[in-house]
Amino acid sequence: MSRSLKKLLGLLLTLLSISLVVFIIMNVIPGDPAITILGIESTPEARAVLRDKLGLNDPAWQRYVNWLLGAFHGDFGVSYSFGVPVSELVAERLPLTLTLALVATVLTIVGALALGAIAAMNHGNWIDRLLSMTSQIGVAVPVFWLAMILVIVFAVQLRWVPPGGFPGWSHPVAGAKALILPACSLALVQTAILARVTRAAILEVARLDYVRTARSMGLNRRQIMLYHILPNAMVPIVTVAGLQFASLITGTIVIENVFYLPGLGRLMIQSIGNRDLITVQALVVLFAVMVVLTNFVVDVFYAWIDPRMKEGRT
Amino acid sequence: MLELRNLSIRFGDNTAVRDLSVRIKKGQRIGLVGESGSGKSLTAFSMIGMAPECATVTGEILFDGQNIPAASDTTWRRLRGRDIAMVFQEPLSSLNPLKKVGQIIAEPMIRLDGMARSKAKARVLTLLEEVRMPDPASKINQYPHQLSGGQRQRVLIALALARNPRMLIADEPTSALDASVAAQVVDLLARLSQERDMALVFISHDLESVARATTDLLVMYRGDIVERGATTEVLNAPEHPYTRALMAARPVIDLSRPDRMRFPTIPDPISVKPEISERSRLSGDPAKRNKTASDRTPAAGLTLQDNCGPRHASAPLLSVEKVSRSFKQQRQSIFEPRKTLRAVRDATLLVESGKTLGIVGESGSGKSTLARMIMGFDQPETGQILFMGKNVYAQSAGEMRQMRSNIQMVFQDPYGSLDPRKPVGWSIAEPLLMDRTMDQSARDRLVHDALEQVGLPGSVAQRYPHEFSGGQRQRIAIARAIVTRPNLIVADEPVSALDVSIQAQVLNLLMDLQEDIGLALVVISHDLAVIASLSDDIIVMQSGYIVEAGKTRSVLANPKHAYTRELLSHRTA
Repeated sequence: MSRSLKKLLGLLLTLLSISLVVFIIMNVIPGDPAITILGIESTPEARAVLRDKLGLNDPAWQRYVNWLLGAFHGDFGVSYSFGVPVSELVAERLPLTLTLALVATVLTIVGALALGAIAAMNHGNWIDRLLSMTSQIGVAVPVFWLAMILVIVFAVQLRWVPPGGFPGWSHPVAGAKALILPACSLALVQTAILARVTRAAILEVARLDYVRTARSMGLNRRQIMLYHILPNAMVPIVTVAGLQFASLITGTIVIENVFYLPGLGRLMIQSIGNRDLITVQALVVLFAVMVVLTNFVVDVFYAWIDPRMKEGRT
Repeated sequence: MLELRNLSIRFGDNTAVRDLSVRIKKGQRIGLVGESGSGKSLTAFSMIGMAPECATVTGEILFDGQNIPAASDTTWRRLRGRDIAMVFQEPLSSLNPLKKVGQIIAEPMIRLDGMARSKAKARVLTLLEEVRMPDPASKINQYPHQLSGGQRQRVLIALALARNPRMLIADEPTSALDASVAAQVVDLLARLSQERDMALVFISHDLESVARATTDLLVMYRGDIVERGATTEVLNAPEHPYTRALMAARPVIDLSRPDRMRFPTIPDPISVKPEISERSRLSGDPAKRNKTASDRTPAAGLTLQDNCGPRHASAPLLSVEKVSRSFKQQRQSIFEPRKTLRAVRDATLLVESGKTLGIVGESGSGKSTLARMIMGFDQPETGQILFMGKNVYAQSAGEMRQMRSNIQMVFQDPYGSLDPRKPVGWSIAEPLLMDRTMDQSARDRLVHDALEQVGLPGSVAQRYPHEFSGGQRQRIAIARAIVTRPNLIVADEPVSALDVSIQAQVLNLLMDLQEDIGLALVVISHDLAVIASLSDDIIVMQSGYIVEAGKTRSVLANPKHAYTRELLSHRTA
């Protein structure tokens, strides 16, 4: 019990330090929010009034504490460029980004487990070599380039799916169609990486003594793979998949811009372009929170999958 | 029931098992002994159709008169578990760590025999009772890592019995267990075989276990059966030189012997084949090893006077005074207080330079914790440890480093303690890197000297750990320990991972080195015979206490504590 509590405490501390680092960076970057909001033609007097109103004249630590207290209540301030609360902007766009990342993760895990298992079971023959060559290429390809190729083939040439944009959640079929290409381009590269990990993990477990025991009691290959090898190979696979979910979330920043999807990633790029620092600050913290939470979930998963970890062994 | 006809197993050009023919009858208990590499495990695995894929198996294997092609995995799969089952050497790694004991044993009955879960569960209980598992009902919900070594082996046996096989193959089932537990498991296997009228093939390099469990015996040496017959007859009157050597090499406690006697090694009794002679040359010519210590000149500078700084002649090299160490255990539930495991309690001991102290006790008796404290890895809670007059845990980091190069350690598993990706010369030189003033050629020379001292040619420094046999690797580990010219070597189970004949060589080497360079040894083992033959003084540990201490001869001749007597009774035949 005390172990999970310690973990949770560590989680909070991590988040706190992330928010502090982000706040410091945002505050040492040159640029005056008042100019951002009022434009460069505004009078110095008007800017001074606005700065006072925004609390920018307070000492830095006070602004940090105020921002932190606000953040605990879901109040991240008002966007300088959109003029609406940052929390509203995020709430509108979060579902799309999360959906995209989750769908891509599911595609990655399913694809990687299947391909990795097939490669491992054909260890050393041409199927294995073909798969590992393909995945080698997959690892090397940049996501945005792959996305563009997919658009040219499936949207421009074949016209199966739209090349970009999102019709909104009120059109479920069209919406799902719009997400197919972005999710696939995100997932393909990650699948290539995870498939390699899966193959290695399966081969590693397959030569262990308890697999030999399973064989000696008369189980067939499929049963041995399903009930003995795969569960034990899950620990390294989940470790990498957790790291990948983090990079999938950040990968959405690129993909949403390629496909013109109104998600957090696109908001991030827009806010950076507009020097909308208060929005950028909230988004960076939010992305960090998602990554840290993922790692926490992976940790919990370890303990669930492997009884030895529950007892604090490593 | 099972018959092997002219079975040969080859790896490429290398023949591992040659023209082997055996008939195993219903309910027969047959032992298969030999060193590792003699082909005994390969033979056993081919009896269940699980010889490695890269091996070429020729000859016939007949089960109930039917020829089973060695390559047909599907045919073999129907026999496995139902007709022929197997028990393995390493009970922990042989059990799926993610499953509870109940699930493990029930799995073949549910998945292969289609038994209902409730019925399977009831049968798991019966099986656990049959293998004499203490408190079987609670064990069902435990994981393998929560059991003791002996209990894990009982789980493995229960699993093998789950589908009522007619034949059980046990591959070194006791080599990972303590002596007293091993004896129980051996007796259990023999009794199960009798009660169930189940054939038993018992593979071991331990003659005592084989003698207890079997009625017939096969002795294998380098792929051939060199002797066969009724177990008692073979062991009472061994005809083949290898069998005799195997029996003589086993360390036994013999009080009529002089204080410390070297073991007879096995000097290659069989006509030597070319590829084998290459190996034995590498492993250190036994004849050379048997030279007396005075014949050899110690390498330059490797004398006691040179490598110990200021020292008081009267003070002991190592003195451990009333040292205790305990560990907090994981709590079982939040309502119970955390239990404390008192690993070592009020231990006091002295080691004089050039002498050997043996520490004997079962696993869990605290002997390894004691060793860790001596090495400076683990600070005792009370008491103090003085090495060369200095308190180990009250010195600066620099002094601690200095001390570390003066105490070296040899571990149980030589393979695990050598970096597989580096040539062995690199691993041996590693402790020397602490001395920044030493240049590469000086290090190379010391590595070369150390290798020669452990009986390996200096040229092997460029080779990698996997190119050596277990015994050679342990020699390399010893070379690493002596390369810094330490005053004290702590050896934790230095030979328990080795075959008996190799054990003898390594023990002889330790004794030689001690005479040559005058170092003090602390040897830890669960094997009283090893300790008895090696050490001047002995300490017997049980559950953290030193229950008996004194001169080895007097303790063994007149054991005062019941536990020492118990240990002795396992060993003296």
